[in-house]
Amino acid sequence: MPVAAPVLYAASARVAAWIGSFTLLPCLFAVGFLWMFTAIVAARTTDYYRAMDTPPSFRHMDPMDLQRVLVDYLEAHDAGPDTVLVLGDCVAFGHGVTTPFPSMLSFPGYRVLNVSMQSFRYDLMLVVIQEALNRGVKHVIVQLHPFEDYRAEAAQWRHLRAQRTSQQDDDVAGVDVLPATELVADARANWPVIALAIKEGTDRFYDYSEHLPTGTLSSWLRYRVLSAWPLYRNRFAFDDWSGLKLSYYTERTHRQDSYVATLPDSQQQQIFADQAPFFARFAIADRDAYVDSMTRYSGPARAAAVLQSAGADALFVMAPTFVDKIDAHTALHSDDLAFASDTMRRIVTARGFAYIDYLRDPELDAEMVHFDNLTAKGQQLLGRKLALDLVRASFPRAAEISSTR
Amino acid sequence: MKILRAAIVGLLLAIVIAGLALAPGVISSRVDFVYALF
Repeated sequence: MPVAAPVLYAASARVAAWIGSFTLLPCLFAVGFLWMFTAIVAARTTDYYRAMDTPPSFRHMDPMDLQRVLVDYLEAHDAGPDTVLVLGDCVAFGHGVTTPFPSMLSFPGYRVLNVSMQSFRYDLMLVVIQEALNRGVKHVIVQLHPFEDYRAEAAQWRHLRAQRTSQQDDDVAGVDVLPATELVADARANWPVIALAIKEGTDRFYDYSEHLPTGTLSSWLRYRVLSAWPLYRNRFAFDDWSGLKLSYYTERTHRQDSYVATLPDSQQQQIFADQAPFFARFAIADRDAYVDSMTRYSGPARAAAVLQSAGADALFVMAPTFVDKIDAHTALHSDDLAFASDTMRRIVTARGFAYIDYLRDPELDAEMVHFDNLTAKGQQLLGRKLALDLVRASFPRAAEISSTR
Repeated sequence: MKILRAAIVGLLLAIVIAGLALAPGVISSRVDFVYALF
């Protein structure tokens, strides 16, 4: 040991001197090499996304990167006038199945691009819709669900907007007053706040007054700086295409038909009992207040407003759920769900868009895995039904088809 | 020689930085060491 010490000291002194001759040049080389690595990773990730016909598990990436990653995905697929964009949550994503229902849709002269993810929040969805519209996308299918925590959602949206515009929460205007540009600007400002809260919180639905974070150095660095660097934001895609395949994102992206059978009744009822407070959020206490809140502040209302403003051809699809089981085992009633769907129908059709409702389809109800997912067979059924119903709804609009040829 | 040494040092530095940037995606999508830093 006493002998080794001076030898080590001498060796480390030489290494230190070597490193100490650091000048600008090594740093410039490092920047050059990083630029090259970034270009390689970005190009390889574009090829990786382009090869996909079902969406990767966006939900299991870092929420901070999601806006840019979703735009990367649109770019990789050359989303444009010849694209029918499908946006939705677990159902349209195909949680637990290999082939979700959007994969079964086809329109002559169009490509179907499914950009869905579990728990797709409407603010982020609105940003993606605008990015797609900017790229010339004209045809959009939005999958809805009837479960809106409408009081918290509206309160949160008003609160965030009030903070930005220095107003009182109660004075904040809604979709009926605000132009589409304001709605999109709000969505761009809101979605990181909400994504950050979801990431840090333990509950998907949260009390907005408690969990909304103030701006932090951490969030600024992650959203503004690191996320803008393609090498960093493509780290999940890298894990998959590099062959390492170690992350949870990769595991969820490689699909398999795990939802083959519905849950046994006893297990489903246990889940209902455990999640009673969750379902209670969606109960409609006051129908007039519900209609007012949904019409003025809800995600679907904002999406419909922006799509109408852009002259897009949109169609809204209400996903199925097992209404009778929910009615029997939770605080929610079947007429609450029917009223929710009917309200969204009126909001959407008032903008001139079609609305297709699968809420109370017995064949699909029988294929529900918990309240918000379908079995593989259920997805195929939904795909077949929707393909037929889209023809009847004349989607995509015939006038648009002829104009793109 | 100086340029070659600078290039090697730069390459090593770039590999380390790129590795740090890519590592969180590989480790897990639920653990991001960048969060731990701030």
